[in-house]
Amino acid sequence: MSREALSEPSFYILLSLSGPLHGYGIIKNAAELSSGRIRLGAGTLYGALDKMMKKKWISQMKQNANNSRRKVYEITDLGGDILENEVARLRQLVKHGQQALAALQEVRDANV
Amino acid sequence: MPTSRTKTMWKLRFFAIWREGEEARWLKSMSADGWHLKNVGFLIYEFEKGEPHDYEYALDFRIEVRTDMQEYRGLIEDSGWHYLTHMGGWQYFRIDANKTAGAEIYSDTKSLMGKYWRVLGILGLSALPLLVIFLNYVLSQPTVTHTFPIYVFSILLAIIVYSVFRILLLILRKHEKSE
Repeated sequence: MSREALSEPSFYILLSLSGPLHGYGIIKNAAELSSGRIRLGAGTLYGALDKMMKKKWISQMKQNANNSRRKVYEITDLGGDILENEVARLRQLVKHGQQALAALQEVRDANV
Repeated sequence: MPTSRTKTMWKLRFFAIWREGEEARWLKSMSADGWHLKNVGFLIYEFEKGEPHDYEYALDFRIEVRTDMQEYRGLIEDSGWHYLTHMGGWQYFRIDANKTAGAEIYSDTKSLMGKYWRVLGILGLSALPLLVIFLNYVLSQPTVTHTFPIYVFSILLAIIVYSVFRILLLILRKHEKSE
C-alpha cells in the first residue's frame, strides 16, 4: 500500500467519490468544498481518474440506460483504505503542528 | 427560398509541436477573421466562413487505443469546451474567449507535461520500426548499392531525434518555471 502523501487534487477526487459521481460532478464538488480554491482541469481529471482506475482505487459503475452519456465512478475498498490512511496522516500532521504551536505560545508567554 | 452555401477554405500549414500555443493562436486569429476551424488533416486545415468571433483554441494529445474518447471528450465539453475534430492523436477544442475563466484543460504542470510525454512516446514508437527496417536493409546486403533509402532514413530519423530533443527541452523549461 502506498504510504506517499496524496496530492491535494487526488485527495479531493477520492473523497468526492465516497458516493457515486460522474467526472464533472467531481470538478464541481472539489470546487464547492474548497470554496473555489481547487480547480481541477478536465484533462487533468481524466488522467487522474485513469490512473486511479488502474490502481483500482476507484471503479466505473455499470451504466444504466437512462444516463449513458457520462461514466459514473465510485471509490473501491482499496481506495477507501487509501483515503483512511491519508486522513490518519493528515490528522497526525495537524496534531504535531498544534503541539509545536502550543510550545511556541508557551515560550512567547514566558517572555512577556 | 434563399440558398446559403457555406464557404470553405483550405490552408496548408506546419506547426512545430514544441512551439507551444502557436497553432492555437493562429486558429484564434483565423476565427477573428471569420474563418472557423472545421477539420484538420496532415498539415492541412479546413475552415468554414462565418461571423468573426473571439474564440480560444486548445490542442490536447490523446490516442484512441489508450483513451475512452467518449468519456474524455465529454468531460472536456462539460467544462465548457466544444470538441471540433482530431488529427492523429491531436484533439482540437474551442471555447468562447469570455468563458475561459476556470476552464483550463490542465490545472497543474505535471498533468500538462503528460501531454508532451505522450507525444514523446508516440515519436519513440515510430522511430523503432524505422530503425528495424533500416538495419534489416543494411545488414541484408553485403555492399549497399542504393544510397537513396539511406538518405530518406537518415532525414526521417534526424527529424524525429530533433523533435524529441526540442520537446524534452520544453518539458524541462516548464518544470523549472513551476518550481
